[in-house]
Amino acid sequence: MALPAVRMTGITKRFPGVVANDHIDFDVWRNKINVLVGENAAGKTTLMNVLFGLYKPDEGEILINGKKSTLRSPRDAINLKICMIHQHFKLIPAFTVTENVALVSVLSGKGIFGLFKDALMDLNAIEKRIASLSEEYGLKVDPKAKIEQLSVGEQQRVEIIKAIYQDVEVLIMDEPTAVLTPQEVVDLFRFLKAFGKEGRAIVFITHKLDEVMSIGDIVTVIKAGRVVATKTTTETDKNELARLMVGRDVIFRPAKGDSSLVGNILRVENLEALNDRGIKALKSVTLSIRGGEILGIAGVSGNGQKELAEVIMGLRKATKGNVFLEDDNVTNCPPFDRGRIKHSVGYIPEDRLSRGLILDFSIRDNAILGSDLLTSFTKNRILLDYKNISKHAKNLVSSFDVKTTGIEAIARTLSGGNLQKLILARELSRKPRLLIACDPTRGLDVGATEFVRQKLLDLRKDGVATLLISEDLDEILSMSDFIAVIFEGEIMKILSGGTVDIEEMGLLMAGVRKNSESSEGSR
Amino acid sequence: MRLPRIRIKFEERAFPTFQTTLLTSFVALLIVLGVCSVFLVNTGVNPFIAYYLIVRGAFGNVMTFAETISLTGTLLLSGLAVTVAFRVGFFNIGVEGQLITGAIAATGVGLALGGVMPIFVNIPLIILASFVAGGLTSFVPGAFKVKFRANEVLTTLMLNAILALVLSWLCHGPWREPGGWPETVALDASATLPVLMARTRLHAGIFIAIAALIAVYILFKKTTLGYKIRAVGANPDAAYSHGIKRTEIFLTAAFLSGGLGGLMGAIEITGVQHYLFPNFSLGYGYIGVMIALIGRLNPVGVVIAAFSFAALINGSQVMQTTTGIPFELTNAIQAVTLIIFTSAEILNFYKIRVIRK
Repeated sequence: MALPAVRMTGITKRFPGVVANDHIDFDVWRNKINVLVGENAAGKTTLMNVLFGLYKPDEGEILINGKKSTLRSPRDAINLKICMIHQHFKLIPAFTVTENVALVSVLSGKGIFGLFKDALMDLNAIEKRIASLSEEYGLKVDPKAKIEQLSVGEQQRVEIIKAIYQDVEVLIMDEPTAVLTPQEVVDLFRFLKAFGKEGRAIVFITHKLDEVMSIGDIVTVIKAGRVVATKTTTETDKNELARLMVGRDVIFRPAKGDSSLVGNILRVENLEALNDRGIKALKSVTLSIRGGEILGIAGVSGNGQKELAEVIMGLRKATKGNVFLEDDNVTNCPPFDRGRIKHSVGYIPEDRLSRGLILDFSIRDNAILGSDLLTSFTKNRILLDYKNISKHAKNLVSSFDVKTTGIEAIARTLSGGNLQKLILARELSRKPRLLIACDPTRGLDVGATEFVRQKLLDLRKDGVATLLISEDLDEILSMSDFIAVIFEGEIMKILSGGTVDIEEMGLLMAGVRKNSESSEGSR
Repeated sequence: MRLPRIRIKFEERAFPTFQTTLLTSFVALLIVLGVCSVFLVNTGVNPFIAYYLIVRGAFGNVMTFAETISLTGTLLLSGLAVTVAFRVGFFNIGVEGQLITGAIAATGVGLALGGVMPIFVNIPLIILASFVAGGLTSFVPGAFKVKFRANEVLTTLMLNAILALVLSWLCHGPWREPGGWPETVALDASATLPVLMARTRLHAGIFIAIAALIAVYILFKKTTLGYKIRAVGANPDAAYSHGIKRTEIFLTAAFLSGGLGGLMGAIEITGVQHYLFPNFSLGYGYIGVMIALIGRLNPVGVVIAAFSFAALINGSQVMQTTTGIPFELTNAIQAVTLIIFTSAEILNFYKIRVIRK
């Protein structure tokens, strides 16, 4: 058999306190889509960062086309025609597509003279080349557009064009579908399949098993920093991969069970609001949630979900419309004002690290983050009752199985999943009537995801109204009683959770109404 | 024979341990002594004698020791003022200015009430007035930051210069002792802090500093307000999202910080100088920034830092006057000490591993 394009042997990478990669052997074959699959924090991205020269491995060696290579930086990798497209794109927002692509030609020269090699850039030539590449590979993108004007999917195409422009031979894509609409995923897959046939190798990182099966040729399962299996996709199936990933069969659909519905807890009428850039992010949103009901918001991220949650919480101003908690109008009330404390609202913010808690605080201090909690844990409004606070914090930790050395531990030392559990534990300790949950399981491993979802379903049973905003469609589908599809700040349609036509939902998310193709059709 | 090849590796660690802190401090001290010896030998001074003089100057007898303790009190307030401000994310470089307004307020009250009212009325009023004056001095740049996003490092720093001129104007103009130097008349004994030890300048201001220390300690360890200040400082977005009024808390902390700076002015005037004159402060407000940072914004750390600084300043002064080395050299010695100790401090956040190949 021919040599692999890349052979990594015995790669070990340690970070303080963890071994992210533990003697990993991994081959990247040409003309194949090589899938790396594993739970979050399994070590997939770390391994590829090693290949891309971002991390130096503590042990192990890398053979590229059979030759031992040391990669000191991404520039070395690029010179060896290895490109990585990260989850967070490395584009300069204020530059045009052409200028961003031109950057790589400036940077790819070797040594100090490389800096001058392309000192006089012929932007027109680059622009033409982009246009022809975009044509050739079916990657629609306007070379003159500024990055900040592009959708996430378009930005990803720019990254791909950048890679092709550098004559990439090994293309690494880190969870590329996380931010795409279903249609964009189809397009991407079509491109990858064609592109990978031309003697190039593609490494595709994911944790979605459907994707593995539909696009992968060879799949390598990584669990806790170790390779547990490498198989061709023809000799395996989803259930086996799931077992390999987590070491047991995963329950994909939690049992929902019944709940008794009570009156409207949250009612939002004709709500409008602006986003951070001053552009209308919500357009006349009307919805309501009863107690014991989960309303899922489905949509590609950036279509107003975040703004909706923030307006309801009083963190963003409503420019029009009203928010009612039961019968009280709380529109534009400050967060955790008296009205909300009375009705008790739990909030899991989208960006939990920057808003959900304070990373430099101990678990104990984070356990009482919130003006309402602070008031209930004071002795006389001035002094905090640390005895009770410690008890409360210990309760949160034990009832949600937060893995930590103790309540004095600084939040920063916890893993993402444990932080999320801590936030959830605190929010539920408020005994909320309404829970606003934004991406409650993002970044969690399968076990933690299952745990969090079960908690949400328990709340539903207890008559709590839940607004579930999630990028994970499986989550929305399996949890929601109703699904509101949001597109560009507008609720396209509210679907009944039990009987969703996935295709219709996908189209709605992309802004297409099935029964009225004429009007709102295109993007 | 082959020498073993070794590699030294730095690994980050989240928190320094007590042992390493002790070790790095000791190593830092050795380096400081070594480096300064070069300076001293160069100027023809026996370094051992110089170091002996520094220690004697700081702790040698009752008088010098009292002087060090007294200065510790002043520097402690300065460090605490900066600590409170930095904890809320307000980079108050204006403690020097707050010290000036505190001193002006203290002098104003002292001049008005000294000899008129008894000491137990005057001193509390002086403390209150200087606290409020200092607090307002810091509140204004705080409000400018909130309202106009004016960078507080610049505004507080500029305010220092303005206030120094206001002080100078007061001493040259309205408050000038008739027919005397550009300075106020001496405060009446009923408006000065009692001396604690005969024939020394150790005054009751140290109690004010200790009270402030305890208050700041309780503030951050036990109170709701302290919690909110820490929350706003550590993550204003998260604090706001959870219903903590970040503007209110920010300005409260700014006021408290300035108030502590104002107290420093009060004890400097009513405890040490007993009258107001331009340049009465030797930059103690600026030293507070270093003290707070070396003390890791922790009240206990700030005490240790304040005491060390007081000893170093007083000791090196005595050493300078005794040996006759240039004044600049004492400054250099202080600076070298500071640089080396702060560098060593960074090492506390790393594990050093020696790897044999």
